Amino acid sequence: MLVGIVTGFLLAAAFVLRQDQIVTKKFEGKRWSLPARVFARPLEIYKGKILAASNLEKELHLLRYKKTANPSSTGQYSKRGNQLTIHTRGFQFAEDKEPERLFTVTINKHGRVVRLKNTENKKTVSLIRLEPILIGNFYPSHNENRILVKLKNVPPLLSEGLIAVEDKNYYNHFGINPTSIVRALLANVRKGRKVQGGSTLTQQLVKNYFLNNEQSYTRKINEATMAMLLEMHYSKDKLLEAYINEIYLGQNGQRAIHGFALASQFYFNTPLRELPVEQLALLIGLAKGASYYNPRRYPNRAKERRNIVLDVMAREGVISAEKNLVAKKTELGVTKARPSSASPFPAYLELVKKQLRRDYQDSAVNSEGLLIFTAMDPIIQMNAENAVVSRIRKLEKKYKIEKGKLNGAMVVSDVKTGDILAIVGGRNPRYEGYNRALDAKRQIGSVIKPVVFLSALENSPKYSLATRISDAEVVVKVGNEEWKPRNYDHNDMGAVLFFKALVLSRNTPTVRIGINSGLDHVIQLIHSLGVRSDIPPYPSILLGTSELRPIEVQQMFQTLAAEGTYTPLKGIRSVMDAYGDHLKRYPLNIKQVASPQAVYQVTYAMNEVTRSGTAQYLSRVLPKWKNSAGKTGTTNDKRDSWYAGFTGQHVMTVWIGRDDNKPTALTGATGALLVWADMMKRLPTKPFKPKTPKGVEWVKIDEESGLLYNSSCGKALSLPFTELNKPKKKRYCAPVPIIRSSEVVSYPQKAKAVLISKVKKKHNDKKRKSVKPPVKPRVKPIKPAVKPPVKIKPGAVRKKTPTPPASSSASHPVWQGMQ
Amino acid sequence: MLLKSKFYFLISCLSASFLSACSATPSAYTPSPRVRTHPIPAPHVPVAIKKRVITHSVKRPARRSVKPRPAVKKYTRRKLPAPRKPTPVMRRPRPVPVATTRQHKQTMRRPARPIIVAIPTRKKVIATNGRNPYESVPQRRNTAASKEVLLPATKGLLAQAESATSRQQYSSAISYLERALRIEPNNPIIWTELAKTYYDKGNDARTIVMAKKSNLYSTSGSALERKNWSIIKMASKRSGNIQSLKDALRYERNRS
Repeated sequence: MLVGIVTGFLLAAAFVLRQDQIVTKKFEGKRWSLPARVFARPLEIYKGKILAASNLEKELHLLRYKKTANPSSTGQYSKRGNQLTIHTRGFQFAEDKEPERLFTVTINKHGRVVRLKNTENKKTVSLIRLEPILIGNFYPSHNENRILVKLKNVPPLLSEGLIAVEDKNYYNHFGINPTSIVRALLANVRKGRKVQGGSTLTQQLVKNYFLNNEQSYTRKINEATMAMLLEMHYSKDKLLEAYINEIYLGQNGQRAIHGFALASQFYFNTPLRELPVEQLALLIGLAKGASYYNPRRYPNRAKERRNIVLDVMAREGVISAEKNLVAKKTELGVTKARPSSASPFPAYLELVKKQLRRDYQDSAVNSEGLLIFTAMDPIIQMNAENAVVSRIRKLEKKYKIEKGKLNGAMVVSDVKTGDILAIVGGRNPRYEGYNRALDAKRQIGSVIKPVVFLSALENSPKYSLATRISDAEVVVKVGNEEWKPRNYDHNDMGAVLFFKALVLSRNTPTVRIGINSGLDHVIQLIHSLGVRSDIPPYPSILLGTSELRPIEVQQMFQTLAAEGTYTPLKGIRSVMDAYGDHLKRYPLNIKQVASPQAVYQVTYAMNEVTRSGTAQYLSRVLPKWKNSAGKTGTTNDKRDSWYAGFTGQHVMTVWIGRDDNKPTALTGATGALLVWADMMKRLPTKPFKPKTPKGVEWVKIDEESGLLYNSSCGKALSLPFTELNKPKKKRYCAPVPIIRSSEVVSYPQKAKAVLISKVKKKHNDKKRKSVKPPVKPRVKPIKPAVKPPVKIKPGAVRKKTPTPPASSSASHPVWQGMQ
Repeated sequence: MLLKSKFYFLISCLSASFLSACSATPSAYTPSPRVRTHPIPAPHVPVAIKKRVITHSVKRPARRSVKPRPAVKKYTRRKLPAPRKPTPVMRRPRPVPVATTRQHKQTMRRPARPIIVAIPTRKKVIATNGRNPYESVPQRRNTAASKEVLLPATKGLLAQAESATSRQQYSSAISYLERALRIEPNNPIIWTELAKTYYDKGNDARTIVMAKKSNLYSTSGSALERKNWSIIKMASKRSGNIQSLKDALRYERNRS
């Protein structure tokens, strides 16, 4: 008997101890698995910022601000003419806290902030940050979703109402409330069924937290013990906070809605702090049974329950009787559509995930409630999506492409910081799927050419923007095979100046330049500009046969746009853990990888591309101040259409093509360029206007010969040169010879440097002997020149050449190389 | 006093062989760009010096009047003519005292000669007929970057960065500076601040990169450029980056 009592006691003690362990371990340790939350960049407002009023309103709308006549509490704004008065909510950023503020911003008709004042004391404010927009979550594997709130940030009405309705004696009991259990028991016995529950808030928390839903006495005993143990270990406030964050309040597809903060977003699309009484009452009512009172499915039941809660709150003195009457008459106010649990910007989120995986484990990304601050600009992102989608539809119609087959991708980033501002991964930007901007490897075509020209300018002083290069056919020997690249229009312009070859996207001069200045240099440069993909050492890469992802092309152009400083593209600015510390920052990381002088010269030519070259469409459709530089790209049979370019502030790359890699009938200039232009029309940006670096001077040269300008003949043209490569000789006033010949270029496999065998060494030297007839090639060409040595003036090629231009290029009045 | 100075004047006239220049009212249109007229009487200075100077000043106008100077020539007021024979006696008194004779008073009073202000020569003088495409881009109201002044918004951020640096919270300071950089990406001041912060943090490689970036945007010869090079010098010394150190030393040598 005694032994029995002792063993029973011991067993009970062991049971309690075990329970104690479970409770404390679970409560102390990782209490909740929280989804990681991803934020867009906070909008910074300051005097002088370019910010259209409509864009500011759009941003406020995304932040769920309400438009009122007189903004009295946080999350409201008013608009009067060009003045917006905004009451911000404040936000805890990584470095500091942005307090909630009431301010007035005045925007002039050019979309520039001209005044920024504190509305209350009328003092000028220099800088204001709005809260960042939440653009997505990374959910834990068991699909819980939750937004944590601290008790001090919970509206007092909620906690008071909760206590009044669920557990009046919360602050007085020790985890269980014997009197209420007895009362409930009596009531249930009298009625013969369960009408009253006697469990306290703590018990409910335990039920939600540790146990399953089975109805049994063991569970009840477990629940009671654990509740008492919890009360022993933790303060009432802490437990209440846990309750507010833990309680189950609804279901969104696969995801359970836990806690009041998330429920507030889920049902009313408003932060918890901004809910009126009746909506708080509804949420409190839902705690009893979220699916039974589901306000979207059973509005009448929910309303009834809400009114009961309001009555109880009024009876307990939480709200006044008048308020109760008013509140009871209101509608439920639940938003019709439940917010999608998927992010509206899946393409950008994928980028974020990729960057996070480098530094964090999957479990940490998904469940530790990381706050991830990205550089995404939601306004730019939405504009970019719109530009891609609408233009693709138009192109399909115009070129009679099967509907839904054409696809595209776009990346926008900031020139100086390498921040990725927007990513469009396909024509359905709302659906998660194949992200072409990050994953599609496609041939890049002429988009590679600026790198070839840059490599030549950097590595051999014999090249300058004014060097004359033959446009004739070229034969490259690779081992025993021959590669005979031709120009896009199959024409021969005679000799073209170096920079014109880029502007008009000529193929054969590019091959000459690339091979003469060293193929290995070109490949090295492509890598140092930031491309990670492998580039096979074949001469055909000079015309862009290598396959790259749009994001890699973007990286290349980013480096060109930033005066040759490589800044890795990044989506994440910083990561904060759920408690606001353990921060990981991704600071600006720059490295000079190309000479600023050479980059300046190449970007001049790329700027000329948008004025008189393959992308001169831009100079027609964009306002003159939106000066930019870029390069078109088309691949064989028009499978891919590329355009990459930059202004003084933004770098953008656009790819258009088909997923099945079939021809599209689009060149770079008729496809991707249009998307780029559509986007640039809407994008507030700074013009491309580089500062002339030290060591570069502008020299007036002769347009035809590339020598110094002689005022008695020829046309003048100013070009940037360095001290080493500027022309030294003046043009001699006599006709300039047209260089026309086929040349053999041998490219022995495995050999590094490649020589063009016996090409005329310096075109410049020939100028003086220009009276002579065109020079014969000194080496017998493998394939004799097809065309007779007719003198062809640039600009009159089409009429005089025997081979007619391709029919498709005839429709475009632009010089069409392989663009 | 007056008598004394007249006396000096007479002596000087006598000693000068070109009497024409010694008339009481020299022509207002035969100025000497090099004449230094200092109206400070300093009687204790030896006569010999005055004599020489005046002689000199008297001589020059005559020559000048024969051969007028080309219109565009830099005229600097402050520069003293270097004496041909640098004798110790000549070199000692720097502000050469000149007698305050009526003649010289008049020189002082005569209508100001138009001074050609030294306009910094534009780099692309040759390219006047052709064009630099970037020049033709209509000037939008420029952010203060080119003038190397900060917007109020960035100024606040820089102040916050500075206070973070003083608390040795370098990465926090850097993120303030990067915020400033997003507002004014071409402002060399911010790049220099970044370089300084990285130097304090001990990251020399980045210090050098940031300072060089600042140099790309700063006007050449500015104080900021000098500051950047001195930062580069310090950082490259500390990290043993010989190439950068050489560059910095070359810059210093060229400047002096």
